[in-house]
This record gives sequence, structure tokens and C-alpha cells, in this order.
Amino acid sequence: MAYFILKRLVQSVFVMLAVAFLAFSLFRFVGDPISQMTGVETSVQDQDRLREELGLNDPFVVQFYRFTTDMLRGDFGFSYRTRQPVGDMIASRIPATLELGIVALLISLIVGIPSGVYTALRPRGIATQAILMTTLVGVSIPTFVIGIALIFLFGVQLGWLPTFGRGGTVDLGGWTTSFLTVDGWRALILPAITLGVYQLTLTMRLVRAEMMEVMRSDYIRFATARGIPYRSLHYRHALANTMVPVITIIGLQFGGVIAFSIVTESVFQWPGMGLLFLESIRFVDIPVMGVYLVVIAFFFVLVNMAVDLLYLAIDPRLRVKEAA
Amino acid sequence: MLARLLRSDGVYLFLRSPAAIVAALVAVLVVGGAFAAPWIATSNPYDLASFSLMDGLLPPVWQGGDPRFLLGTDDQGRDMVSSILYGARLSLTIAIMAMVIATVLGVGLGLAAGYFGGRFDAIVMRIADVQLALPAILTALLIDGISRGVLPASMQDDLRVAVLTLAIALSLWVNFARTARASVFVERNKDYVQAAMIMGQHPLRVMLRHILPNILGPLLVIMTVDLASAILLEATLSFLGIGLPADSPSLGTLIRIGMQFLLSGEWWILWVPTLFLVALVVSINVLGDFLRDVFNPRLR
Amino acid sequence: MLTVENLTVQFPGRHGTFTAVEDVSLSIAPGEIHGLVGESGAGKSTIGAAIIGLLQPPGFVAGGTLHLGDTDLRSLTPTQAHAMRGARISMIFQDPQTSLNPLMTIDDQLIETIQAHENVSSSEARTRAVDLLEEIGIENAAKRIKAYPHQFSGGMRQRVVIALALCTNPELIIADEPTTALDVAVQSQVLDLIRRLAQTRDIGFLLITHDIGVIAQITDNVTVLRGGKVMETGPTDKVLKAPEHPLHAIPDGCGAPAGPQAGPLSGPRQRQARHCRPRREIRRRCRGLAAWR
Repeated sequence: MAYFILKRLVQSVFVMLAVAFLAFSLFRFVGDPISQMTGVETSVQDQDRLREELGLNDPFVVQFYRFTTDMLRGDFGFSYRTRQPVGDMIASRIPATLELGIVALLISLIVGIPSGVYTALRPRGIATQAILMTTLVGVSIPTFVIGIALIFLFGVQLGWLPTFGRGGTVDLGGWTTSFLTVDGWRALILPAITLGVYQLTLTMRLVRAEMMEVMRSDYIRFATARGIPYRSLHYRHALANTMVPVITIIGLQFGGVIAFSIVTESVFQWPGMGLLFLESIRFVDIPVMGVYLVVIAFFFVLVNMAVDLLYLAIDPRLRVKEAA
Repeated sequence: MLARLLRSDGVYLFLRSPAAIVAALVAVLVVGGAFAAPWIATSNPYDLASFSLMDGLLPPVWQGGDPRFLLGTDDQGRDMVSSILYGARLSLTIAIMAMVIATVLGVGLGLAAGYFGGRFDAIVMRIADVQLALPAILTALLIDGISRGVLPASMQDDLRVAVLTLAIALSLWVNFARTARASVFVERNKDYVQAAMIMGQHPLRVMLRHILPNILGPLLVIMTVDLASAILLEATLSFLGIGLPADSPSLGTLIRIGMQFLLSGEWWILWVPTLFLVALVVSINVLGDFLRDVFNPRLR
Repeated sequence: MLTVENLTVQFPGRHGTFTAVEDVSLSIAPGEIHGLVGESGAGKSTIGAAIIGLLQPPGFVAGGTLHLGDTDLRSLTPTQAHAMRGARISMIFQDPQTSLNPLMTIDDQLIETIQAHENVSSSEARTRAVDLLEEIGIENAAKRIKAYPHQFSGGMRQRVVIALALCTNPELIIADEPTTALDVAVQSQVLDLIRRLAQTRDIGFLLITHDIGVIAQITDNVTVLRGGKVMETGPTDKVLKAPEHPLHAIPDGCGAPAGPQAGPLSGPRQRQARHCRPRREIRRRCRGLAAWR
């Protein structure tokens, strides 16, 4: 087990190194950093001096080593556009995106898993057909259209909920949270639903497919032939086995949540990392793009580690194989 | 031949599935209309001379608009019907090209990876893994961002469509590659492939003649689903203002423009292209779902 | 004890109704091992599923009667039928690798099964489970009962499966290819166990198999099935020694369940098996080969 965790840790380090390399290549080879940092009036001599000072003439490996160690020390460089430290810019945006993503993920799990189970257990029911049709439409409607529709209905027509921004936030030592004010929660509802809908349909269809697969398996047929009560059959035997693959996918979905938060944040003008990334693309602000990638990859690695640990807890086959 | 087709499972199931029939009708109508746009649209939204500001913001006919403009006009006086037909044409062109590139690239790499195995396989699959972890939209955004940094400013607008197509294609190839590779592993150990290889057939020929035909079914399903994804990706990128410039509007751009009228009364400028896009993608996805059921009888 | 009379099972489909089992009658007495033999697709497993009430939809019992003792199995409500499963009729499946829930320990699965049918405390159920495992030939059962299925070998797992089928003292156990997935050495151990259990506990077994060797080894009576109909039925030695229908009418190994196949059948039979490979498969292979022909 320790070996398993260690292996995953090493893998994670390599993933982070690869992403850092990607970010570094972006910074180094897409456009010229010097011409981005300086104005037109800077003389060629000054530019060359700056190039030397920043070490851009050093060997590639040395530059990459410096880039990585700087990042580890929390020095992420400066934005071409705002001239501010990228680290600070991103850090101030992290709470908004994470809170949005977590609430969206919760919505998708709380609704998606039960409806997946239901539709798997009653494959021919009318409610099942209705749910399946709805999810197909849900997958087909782009996230931004869902956002627009929600804004139109609850923001414009009914006027119940705010349609942009985070509303009231409370600063908890650098972490601004929406969770502590009614206003913050109200502003969070529409974006979180928008972001959650797609994940919800994915979760539901996945749980349904896995559950149907499990229900056909020999051990469920055997348990049925032994007269195990249906409640236990469905929720103790089948559901646990369903969740084993589902958990992995939910971990992977976190990436989807983060990516689609770019769209959601754009529709709702939600001041998170996604909006910042979008602006950085529009203005070719390479350092911000690179650091965004590194930060996202870091969260991704963290979530996947958590998923692995969860796996160990659920599936005895992965634990130490002592002879019985 | 025709009689055999009519007796096949696919046709039988198709005629039993009202959803698939309706979806096929909608898809054919939309795609046909889009590609026939130059001939059936009453005006050309790219041609400044063919519309007039005087006709601006006219509502659809049933809300007392002008009979010349069935679904009303936007603030510039462009006919909404013509706009969405041309927009859909652009969206579909990009999506189909992207899908074709992704198919050829993905299937080619997948077959090669599965066939040759070893280091080549490992490299291709590592890249595929990384891409799978990165959602398609992030990949496409990144490629777009890089192109902005690399291409000179003068060429950027001209190459917009190509960049967008490539960005979408490069974010969709993974599914094809994985499917192709997996089936190579299944098929290559079967007697008939072994026989063909022992007979000394060229690897390329073995792949194309023996292995490829076995994955046409699943491939068709992925192509359908990925066509829908490509359309959605293009629409999303254009909506974010990353994709196409506003003077050659695709469906996504039209929706982006329509957003400005969300708060005012001109609902049609937003909802006409939106509903059109949704109808197109829903019908393609319904068809994809249907094909999946046909090719995977176990889920029926 | 079990009487099946004129059983007919049908599957409605798009090309009309398929009759999987037609007019089958058989009976099993307590302690009897009754073999049900036939080629793949002959309807053996369908009969087993019909008896225990677990036919895959859209299949249904179209005619005939099923009695277990005085109980008319066809008249049971779904709830009654489910309560009867395990308690009076149980089942053993082919592959012990997949028959056990991989996420639950053996004792969890045993205790749950016992408690599903009898009102006993967990510790009492565990004591019984341990005794049963010992009886069935699992040493050091008190300790090993805490293990997960993957920690057992194939033969041991099939013993656990048998223990699960047995732990509620059913009158009848339907064993569907119980040894097909096991290797030869283990096969005969499991068959001996079944034989012993039938004698000591007076349990009736319906042993479904395609393997004449298994039939010859342990069954008392045998019913030969072909195309859903009974070809022949009677005491095993009589049927095997003086068959009314030539036994080579039963090709062996035609798409039979996977797993090492032991049996007295050899060369010519195997070649014959090729003929019943699904036509589509043959056509596909031919398409592949036509290139160099």
C-alpha cells in the first residue's frame, strides 16, 4: 500500500514537471519575452542587457531549472499586461473558482448518482425514459446556453437572482468566501447550476451504465438466487461495486469542471481563474496562461491522489494481498 | 443489396424509434439548409449592400414584423434567417473539417500505435492520456492562445478559420486513437490477421483491409458524437470571443452578439440562433445515441 | 420433491416467438442428483432459471407446472418467490471468480444470506457459517472467513459459493455448470463434495452440464435435452449404456461456456464443433482471408 502511494507520488511529480515544462516552453518560445516586457522606445542595448540579466542567454536546462525552482519558491513572474506578480493575480482568483467548482460538483453528485441508480433499476419505466431524454438534451445544450437561459428566466424575467458577479463575500485571511452571506449564496446559485448540469448528466449516465453492468454480473445474479433482500441487493451489493469505477471518473471530471468554469465565469462575469485565463489568451499574456496551467494541473494531481486513497478504502483487492 | 439493407437491424430499429426519425429529419433539414444557404437565403449577411439599417430590429412575422423577414432582423438590419443559415454553414464547415482531420489523425495514430506497439505506442498513448485529462475546450483555448502569440498580427484574421479548425481537431483525436488502438490489440491476435501477416502482407494492407473494417461501427458512433462536440466547441469558442471575428459570424458569434439584447425586448436576436444551434446538436446526439444502441446490442 | 411437468418457456422477439423449452417434464427426489445435459443453447440453463423464477425478460413460462413439494411455484407472487429463493431453492453458478461480491468479506456474504431467511443474531450466524465452511473442507475457517473472495483460489472459491448456496438449508440446489471453470484436479473434488452433500443432507441437485463425463461420474438420473425438448430421461447408467438416441447428436464444445474443458470427447467431435460456429463469425473470417485467396 505504501508502495502504491509512493508510486502515485512519483507519477504526480512527473506530471507536474511535464506541465511546468509546457508552461516554460510557452513563456520562452511563444513570442519574445523581452519585446513584451519593454516598450518600443527601449534601445536594443537595453534590451540585450535585460536579456542577459534575466538569464535568457543561459543554456536551456539552466533556464528551466531556474523557472521550476522559482515556482517552488512561489515566484511566478510578472504579467505582460498588468505588470503585477502573476502569483498574486491567480491567488486572488482561486477562491472564486474553487467555491464555484465545489458547489457545482456537489450538485452534480447529489442529483446525478441517485437518478443514475433509479434509471438503472427501472430501465423500462416512463420516468426513466423522461430522465434519459432530458439528459441527452442536457449534454447537447452548450454550457453557455444553459447559463443564458438561467439568466433570462431567473434573472431577467422573474428577477429572483443576481445574474453576474459574486455578490457579498467575506475575507477570511486572504480567502474570500461566498459561503458566509445570503447575498453570496444567491449569486452562487445560477453559475453553480450552469456548471453542474453537464457534469450531472455525465455522472448520471455513467452511474446508470455501470449499475446496469453490475446488475447483470454473476455475483448479483447469485445474490438474487440466494434471496438477498432487494434493498441490500441494490444499495449494498450493486451500488458499492458501481462506485468503484465511478469514483475515478468523478476525479477526472474535476478537470472538466475547471475547464467549463471558464465558460461559466465568462457568462456570469464570475471573477475566478477562468475569466483571468480568458483575458490572458485575448491579450496573449503568456506568463498568466502558463501559471494557470500549472495551478490547474496541481489541483488535478491533488484530486487524483484523493481519488486513489478513496479507492484503497473501497476496494479490498487493492490493499495488501496477504494470503488467506 | 437494397432488400438486405431494408431487412437489417439498423433500419428495423430506426423505423421503431420515433426519436431517431425526428432527429434525422431535423439534422438533414438543418445541414441541407446550411449548405444551400447561398441559394435559399434571401440576403447575404456578409455583403453590406444586401441589407439596410432601415430594417433594423424588426420582430418575427407573427409579432407584427415585415413579411420579408420571417424571423425578424438584428440591429444592423440583417435577416435572421439568412444569418443563421450562413452561420450554420460556417459552423458546420469548421466542425466537419475538424472531425475529418481528427478521425484521420486519430485512427492513423491509433492503428499504428496498436500495430507497432513498443516505444511509439507508449509515446502516443502518453500524449493521449495527457489530452484526456485536459478537457477539449482547454486544449482548444491553449492552441488558439499559442497561435495568437506565434502568428504575425497581419495573418491572424485570415487564418482564424484554419486555426479554429485545427484547435478543435487536435482536441478531439484522442477518442479515435484509443478506439482504433484497442481494436488492433483485439484483432491482431485473431487467426485471420495472423494468417494475413504470415502470408507476408504489408502491415499497411493488413491494417486497412483487415483491421479497419472491424471498427467501422464504433468509429461511426464516435464520429457522430464528436461532430456534435466539434459544433459545440466551435460555438463555445466563438461565444467566448476567442474563435471567429464578428464580421464572419458563426452560430456561436451570433449568440454572443445576441447576448447584448438579453435585457432588452429583442429576444429573437438571441434565441433564434440559440434554438437553432441546440436543435442541431440535440438531433445529432440523438442519432449518435441511436447508432450506439445499434452497434452495441447488449445495451438495447 | 421437485416436479416439473410439461414446462414450456418462450421468448417473444421481433421475428416471432422463440420457444426455448418445450414440454419438458422431470422430477427430483430428496438426495437425488439429476443431470441435465445437452448442447449449448438446448435450454438447460433456461429450465434452471424457470424453476428458480429468474428468467431473463422477455422470457416467460408459457405452459406447464412447477411444484416444489406442495408449493406451486408458478402461483407465487414476486415477493413470495424471492423469499423462497435461498430458503428452499438455491443456485450455484459456473464461474467462482465472478460469483462472489468482490467488495464484501466471505463472512459478510454468508451472514447476510443466513439472516435474510432466518431470524438469528449475527454471532449465531457466524458460528453456523464457520461450521459450514469447515464441513465443506475449508481449513482454519474461523480465521479465513474474514477474507475477501480474491484471497481464495478458484477451487476454494467454488467451495465458498457452495457454502453460500447451502447456508440456508435449501431442499433443492440448481448447479449450473459448477465445474466447467475449474481445472481438472479441482473438478472432481467439487463433484465429490456435491455427492456427499446430497447424501448427508438429503438435498436434491439439478446438475446442469454439457459434459458427459460429469454426468457419468455423479448423477443418479439424467435428462438429455436437445433443441428445448427432452430426448431421453432415466437412470444414468441406463441412458449412458443404451442410449435411445445416439449421443453423438450432442456435439461438445460448441460455443460452450469458457474454461478448460475436460471430458471424454476428443478429435472427431472437436472438428464437428466447427460447423456450429455462428455463421456471421465464419463470414467475417472469410472476408479477412479472401484477400489472399
